[in-house]
Amino acid sequence: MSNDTVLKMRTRAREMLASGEVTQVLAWEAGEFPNYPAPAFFKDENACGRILYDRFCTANLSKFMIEASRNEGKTLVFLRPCDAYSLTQLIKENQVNREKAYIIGVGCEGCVTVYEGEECGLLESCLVCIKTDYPIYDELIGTENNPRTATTGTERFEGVTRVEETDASARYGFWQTQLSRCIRCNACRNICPTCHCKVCMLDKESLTNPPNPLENKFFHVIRAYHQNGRCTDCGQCARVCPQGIPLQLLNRKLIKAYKPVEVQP
Amino acid sequence: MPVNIVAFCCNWCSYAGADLAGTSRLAYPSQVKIIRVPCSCRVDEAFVLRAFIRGADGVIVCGCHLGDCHYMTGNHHTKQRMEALFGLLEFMGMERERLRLEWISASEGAKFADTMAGFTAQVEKLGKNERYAGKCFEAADAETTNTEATDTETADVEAMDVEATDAETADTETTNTKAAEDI
Repeated sequence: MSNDTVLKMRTRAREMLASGEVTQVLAWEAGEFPNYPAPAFFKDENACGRILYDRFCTANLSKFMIEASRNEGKTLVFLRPCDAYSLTQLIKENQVNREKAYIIGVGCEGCVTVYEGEECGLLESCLVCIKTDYPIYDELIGTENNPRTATTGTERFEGVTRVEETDASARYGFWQTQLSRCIRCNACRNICPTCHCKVCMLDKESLTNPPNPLENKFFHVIRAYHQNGRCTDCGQCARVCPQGIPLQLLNRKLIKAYKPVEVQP
Repeated sequence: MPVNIVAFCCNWCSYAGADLAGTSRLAYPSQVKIIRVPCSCRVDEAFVLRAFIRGADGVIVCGCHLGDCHYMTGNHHTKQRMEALFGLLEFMGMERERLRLEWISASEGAKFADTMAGFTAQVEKLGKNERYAGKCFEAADAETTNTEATDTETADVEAMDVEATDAETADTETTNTKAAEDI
């Protein structure tokens, strides 16, 4: 990401806070570890120098807007195209008040994965990215030199097709291997922008025992199924999984097979 | 060992269809356990999953024919949801033959009996559900058993455990109350 974009972002954040147009700014700042920026709220214009934006900013800021739009005053938020899609979904579901958000779309070069502080390739969801436009924005920064081109949309289902083509016992074996690694940290659920229920059925006390593979499978069936027709394929679930489970496969399976409810008159 | 089938039947059509099958003296396999729901769209994914956890080998969801729903659009939602859920379960390695969605009206007693016989035969071919059955939600099961135990049984347990202190009994009672709340 060009330095120019980050400077523009900081300037805009300062201006907006100084003029009182927004009461807080939602952006990224340097995190605890190198190359691991974290989302942060900025309320003081002098702190805006800490705003950061590079290819390591993998966090989707749209979920934080649920909390932010309950506060007094407007929030300035920086969104990449895939985050903007998530926010659109949240606005549709009346979780975020559009009036309370000032959205600046920032150019995206794709995010990279980090292993021990080092860059190691694009995120899987960025490799098969289908979103380069902004469905919602008030202003755009740094999009003119956006080098990304969207894939046609069939590439992202290749993984699903590969699993689908095998027989039932092979599919069972595949998921048994993958999901027996799950430690049920609930990170996939907590990061998901469309997982925003205040009371979650997966929080049941009897479920927090040492996880077993069958329970894990049904946990992930329920988690994925609840996003049916709502998942924007932002890829955060797979990104945050500490065990590297390809959770997006489940969501993409549902996206691939999705049919809206057809009510005949 | 016979297979267990759980049939979710909507109150207005399929359950009445089952009733008609009964009054018409049409036999259908006795291992079909019918659970009545107000509308087939009341069946959520957790019902189906729980049925498998608790030892079902096949699950069939029955509702009114499309367009005949007592609540106008309920079964259209059922169709969309169950197709998605069945697809996802199939994707995760469950045999598709263990899952079915069927429309049976109140006047179709014969269809109900035939469907159940056919579905049971289909599941019997696959045998017991080995992949997706087992010790899941063990704690929940233990708690449930605890609550379901009759007074006599509880008394027996207490009699056996002579050294049980009052405090321990109080603990058990708390657990029971908690389990009851869970349910």
